Amino acid sequence: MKSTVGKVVLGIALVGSLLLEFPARPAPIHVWDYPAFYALAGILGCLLLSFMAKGVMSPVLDRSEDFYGPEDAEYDWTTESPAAAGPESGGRSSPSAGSGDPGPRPRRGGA
Amino acid sequence: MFGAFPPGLILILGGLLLPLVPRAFRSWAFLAPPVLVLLHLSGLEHGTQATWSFATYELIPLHVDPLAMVFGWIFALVALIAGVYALHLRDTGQQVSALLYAGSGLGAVFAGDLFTLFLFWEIMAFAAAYLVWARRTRESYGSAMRYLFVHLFGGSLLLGGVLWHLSETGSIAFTQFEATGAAWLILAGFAVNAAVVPLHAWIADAYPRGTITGSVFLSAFTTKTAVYTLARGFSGWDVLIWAGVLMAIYGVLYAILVNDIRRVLAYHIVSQVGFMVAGIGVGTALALNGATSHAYTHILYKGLLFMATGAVIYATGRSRMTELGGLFRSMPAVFWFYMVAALSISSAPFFSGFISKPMTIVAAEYADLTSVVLLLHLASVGTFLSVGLKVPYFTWFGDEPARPVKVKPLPWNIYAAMGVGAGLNILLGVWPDPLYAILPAGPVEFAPYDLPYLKKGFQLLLFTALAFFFIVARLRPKPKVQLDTDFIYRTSGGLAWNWTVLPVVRFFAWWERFSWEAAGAVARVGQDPAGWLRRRFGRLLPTPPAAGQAYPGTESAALRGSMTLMMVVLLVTLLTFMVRALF
Repeated sequence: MKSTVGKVVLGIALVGSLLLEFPARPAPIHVWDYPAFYALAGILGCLLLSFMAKGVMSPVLDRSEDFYGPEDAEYDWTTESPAAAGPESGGRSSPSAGSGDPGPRPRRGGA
Repeated sequence: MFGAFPPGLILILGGLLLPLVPRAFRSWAFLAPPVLVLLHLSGLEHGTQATWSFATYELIPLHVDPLAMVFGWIFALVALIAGVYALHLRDTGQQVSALLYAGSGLGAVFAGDLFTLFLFWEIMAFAAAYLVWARRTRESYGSAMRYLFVHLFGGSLLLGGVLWHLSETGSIAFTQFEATGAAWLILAGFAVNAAVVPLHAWIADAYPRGTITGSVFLSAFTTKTAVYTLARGFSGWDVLIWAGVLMAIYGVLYAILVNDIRRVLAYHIVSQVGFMVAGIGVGTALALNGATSHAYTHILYKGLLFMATGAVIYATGRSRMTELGGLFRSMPAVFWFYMVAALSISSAPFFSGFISKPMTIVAAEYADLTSVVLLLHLASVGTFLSVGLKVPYFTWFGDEPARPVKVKPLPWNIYAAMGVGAGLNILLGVWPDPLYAILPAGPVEFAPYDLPYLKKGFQLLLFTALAFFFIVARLRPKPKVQLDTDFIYRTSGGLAWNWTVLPVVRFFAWWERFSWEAAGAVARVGQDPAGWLRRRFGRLLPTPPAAGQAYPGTESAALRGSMTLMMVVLLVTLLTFMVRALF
């Protein structure tokens, strides 16, 4: 949202959504009945979740991308096939057993 | 049309016949079975039942009621849309397994008994695994095998529960369960497919590794079939409320971290299914209607999300946000299609999620579950944060990646399918009445466009966006993978393999080699036993004389004659003794 137009539109929308509070409301029973509860929930929820994920979970859970073994290096998404096997080669082509294989696996592809 | 024929079998038969269609028409022929199913469903009346006898059991492959019909309609519809999305595909294996997969999903939904359900449940696991495997890379191969193992484990839990239930009650009818041990086992089987935390890791493992079109199918059937079975058998079970809330929060937290765009969506399946599971747990009419309608809209917008991200991957060859960015100039249409789905999943007003998700939350409000309501709101914020803001920001805007992106043109059918999906999401958002009319738990007492709900929808999303733009730099994805519960079986899998499978494999390999060598040796000996004996024990035997010559030392005729006589006497004596002994 780099453009000024975008900022203005967002600003107007923010104010507009707060104006929706003005029509008659019943007396608050639950916490979410108070004015602008959802505006605050949006901001605080966003900050809380970001902190939980990036601040608490990320340092503990992040691993390098080849943690479970090397990633497929080159893959042609357009034909949906690795360079060797054509799309109509059916179940006959066995997946290449790359070096540094993380776990043992059956020798033959499940044709 | 077709009378009381199970609609799932139409897709399955279509899938089996598809390879016979000439290749040039095969993609188009793919669309015929879903269209036939839609026509068939329009003629099915509630209460219709088909029964087949199997051994001493009456199987019910078709049981039509409002709950099954909602899922039936959306399954057939999404199979058709995904079929259009896959029109450019020339891979018979994928097309056949997609039809088998959709067909078994439909079959499970219309199954009236637990055996039929289990049968379709297993077909679904195999067909889905093929859609991951069909990418035919080392990575997707491993992922598909793990998918299969996890789902066969879930299937065994289900079968164990069904047999236990049968032995206790004598019934295989699929109805609401009482809280027995058998029911808990069945619930665990369903929970695997519903991706209930901590049994959810297969979804983030497999769905980002499926083929582009395969993952569109995958996003629709497995988890929603499980939602259907939970709604049918376990509505009102309190444990589901908290399982659902945990899923809703857990999914969004991981989605904030992950880098692969389709993995973000996979974690959001966990989160969104969490809303449905919580709704089923609340179990009131409004909550059940909310969960069912949310499953319906979820299939529509999640399919569109996977179609749009698939289009990005198809065009750029990349799936990680760290390698994408600045695509808006080259792929604006895909961006807008994506945003329709993203606003739908975030339940923005006038999009499909808005008519279903708030219904579930309001049901929890009416049930006075204050903390559940607050946590579900928090999950809603997280949904918009990662699907509605983070993914589009780092894919279509943000910095261009270091390695420049080449964008290939997309086939027309991809745009067509996304257009239909986006149109349906908006249509349903502004005109929910047709969906509300078919919901299973009676008339819908919920009007999404009342002012309080509009206010809630707008404020939650707009202020989340405001906060996002302040912290966007901190949300930049990292080129990392995150540990999840699959860590347990992906690292210990090797150990288990070494200790259980390998010894067996090695024993049989040894036995096989031994048998072959033994057979070879016997054959060699049998060809010429005397020669073998001579070669083996030659040193112990006298050298045979030349032809016509006697053995050395036996030249005397008298000696030969007396030896012959002795031999005859010996043999006759022996024979006499044998005859005496026997008779």
